[in-house]
Amino acid sequence: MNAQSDAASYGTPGALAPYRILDLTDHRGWLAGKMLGDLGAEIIKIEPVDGDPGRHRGPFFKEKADADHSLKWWFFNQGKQGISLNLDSEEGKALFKKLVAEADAVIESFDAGWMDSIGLGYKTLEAINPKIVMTSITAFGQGGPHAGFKGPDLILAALCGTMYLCGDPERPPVRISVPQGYMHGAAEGAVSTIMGLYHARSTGIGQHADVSSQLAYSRALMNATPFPKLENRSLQRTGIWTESVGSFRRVIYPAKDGFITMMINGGLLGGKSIEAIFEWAGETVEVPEKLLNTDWQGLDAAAIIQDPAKGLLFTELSEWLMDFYPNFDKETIYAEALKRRILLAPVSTIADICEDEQLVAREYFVDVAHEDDDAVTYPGPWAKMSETAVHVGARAPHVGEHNRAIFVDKMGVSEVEFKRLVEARVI
Amino acid sequence: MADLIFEGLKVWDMSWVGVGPLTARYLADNGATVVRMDSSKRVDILRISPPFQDGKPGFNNSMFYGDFNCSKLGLGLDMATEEAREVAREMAQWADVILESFTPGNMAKWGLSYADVSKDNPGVVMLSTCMQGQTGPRAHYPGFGNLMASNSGYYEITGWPDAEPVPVYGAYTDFIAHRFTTTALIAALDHKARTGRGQYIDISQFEAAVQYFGPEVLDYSVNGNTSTRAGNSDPVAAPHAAYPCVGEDRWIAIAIESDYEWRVFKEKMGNPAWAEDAKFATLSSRKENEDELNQQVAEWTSGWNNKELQYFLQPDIAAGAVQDQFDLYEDAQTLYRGYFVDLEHSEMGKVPYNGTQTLFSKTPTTLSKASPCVGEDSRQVLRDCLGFTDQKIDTLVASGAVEITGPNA
Repeated sequence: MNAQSDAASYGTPGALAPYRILDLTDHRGWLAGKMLGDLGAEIIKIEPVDGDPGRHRGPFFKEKADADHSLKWWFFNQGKQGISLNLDSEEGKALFKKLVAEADAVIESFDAGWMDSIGLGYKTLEAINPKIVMTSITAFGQGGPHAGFKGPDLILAALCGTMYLCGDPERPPVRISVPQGYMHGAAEGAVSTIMGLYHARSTGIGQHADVSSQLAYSRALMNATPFPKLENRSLQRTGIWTESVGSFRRVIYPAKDGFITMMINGGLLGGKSIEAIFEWAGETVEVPEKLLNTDWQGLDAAAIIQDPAKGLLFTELSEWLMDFYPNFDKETIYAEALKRRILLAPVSTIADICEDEQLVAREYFVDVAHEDDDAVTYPGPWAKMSETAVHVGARAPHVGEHNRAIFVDKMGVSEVEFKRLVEARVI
Repeated sequence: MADLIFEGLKVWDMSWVGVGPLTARYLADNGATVVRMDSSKRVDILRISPPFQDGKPGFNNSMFYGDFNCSKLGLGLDMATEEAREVAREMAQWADVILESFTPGNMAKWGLSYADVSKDNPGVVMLSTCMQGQTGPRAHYPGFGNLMASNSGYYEITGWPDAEPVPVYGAYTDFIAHRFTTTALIAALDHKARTGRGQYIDISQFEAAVQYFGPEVLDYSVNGNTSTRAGNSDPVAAPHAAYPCVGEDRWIAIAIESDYEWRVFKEKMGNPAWAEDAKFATLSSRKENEDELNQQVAEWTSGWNNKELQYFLQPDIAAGAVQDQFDLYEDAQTLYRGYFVDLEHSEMGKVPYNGTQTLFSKTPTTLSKASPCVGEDSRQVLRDCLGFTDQKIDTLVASGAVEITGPNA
């Protein structure tokens, strides 16, 4: 049973309730506004009059490939108000500037320099509202030799360095199949925007935050970047195996109904975990003496460096586990691991995640009402905060759905003028 | 120059490994005073993980630890002793922000739960980050981001469709969660600045990681589809792959997203006869004949140096060298943005830190110092933050409750 996105939930103020943020992003930046909206900021999504081109990105609700049924649009624009505005027209620009005067932040993800080129760059916005925080999310940043380069996800994965380390070493490097680059860029954009707002609140000084999605993605290299400078080497991809100081261990194992991931380490990190596996296995099968009699807790990186031959024990262990795990399904293996504190996890499918007992127990999934379906399951609040609500927003807006609420009710545009703006396709 | 964003903010960083320390690093690099708890008795596993300066393992010689903890001061505490726990509690009274990533329940055992701390420090913002959250049946399960990346679906959707799933490098979901923790934490600080009220934040790495999969969860819930791995292919682009170039394990990624781009790309290749075949004329026909298409493109790219080809194709065609770690230091854009920052570490010497991914126009992010050795700044912290006398500090060091290593030992 999922929690409902009822009025009680979005009637409670979130931490960012006083803020109004204008969201000009396309699919590259949607997540930034969503994260801040989840924390209570009022997000006004501004689309072109014909709708955000990202509305045509699949997957779609029951294969209805139109502007109102993109599930990407639904999720990342949930909780936002939607207005349409032609920023190429002078009247559209004037209306946008009026919105800027009353807003706290602008988030955009146009190609580098586009906002400047239409006369709405940071300098212009700052002159209208010195407190405004403008966050620009692009592939490579606003300036520099690659600022004008094309950077779809595959190119970001290549240039940020993560792709080189991913995949079977006998085959080409591979990206994560669900695009990640702009997710990282947009999440970084959320961080930068709230940092800018925090500063502007106390000083009255806004600023421009220039995010590079390439670099935001490269943070996922974890510990890899210093290797050339410290050890004069570059890490290589090792596929379903992992390497530690020259010793190889398998990471992915077949289970009866899919796969599991196990982190095999000796020493402090994982010695106990290996002993716990043997304890479990010993109940049903015979564990080879050689493996059973190894001091895994003593076999850390330093011990292997001292005696590289000992590193081969991990390969032998991996081979034995290849025969052991397929006797059980993922759920059983994970349950035993939890009980015995073995460092492993299932290779979850999206279906597994949707039914995950931990996520369900924490009421992570929520139902959001749409015209087409009154209870679509969404991933919900990603933080639990003791004083301020983390929102479950209403469904994403249709094109221009809140035009009247914003332009007429909030900005005081007259009914006659409103009608004229609609007819002139300014809004 | 304007003050840095978090000038004057006091942060007690009791977290370890990835998410907590990286969250605190955002604050530290932007002006906060961040004190990082450490111990060589319960050592942060990053300190025993590579890369090590000159390949030599040592608690103070790991840049895995280093890169996550620059701009911070190091306080060494052996939390197995009551004296150290008392110091930790005093630090919690000093702090505006407390971060922790212990197994749920540990902080309460030490009298450091939010309820304990906020009694006398009501404005404090405390953030707990762990794998699966503070509550629920798996709250107590320890783990690493590598396992969470598997548990939250990232491995299932990575690799080739004809083979098993493949791990993404590293503790991937740490590098999703740390931006959710940071955003929530600063939002709470902003709320506190307006209302005077602190609060407690519980963030599960699992829940943050699944946010990126929102559309995929919806696709399952309304359509019953389960996304899976697809190599480098994309449903609405072809060519879309990594192609071999001159040299060992050198590749270029190319993404053609429209028929217009395909025509430009054909010109760039010198309009070879094979490319004129009707089976490559439209996106759908190229998708149908993708294996053959990829083979033909690979033949062309294999005569090129990947970086030269990148510059030959861009900005007309989306192309990028598949960069290894050496390449990142020579990437013209990375250099332009001054991404890698060399800092002088007390024992490692000059080492490179990952810098900021955002350039702020008025409050530039500033990596103020190299990462500390275990407890490197214990004396300074206890004197400046808690007003301890040298005599008191000496006693704590002598008993082993407080630890100092590195140049100040």
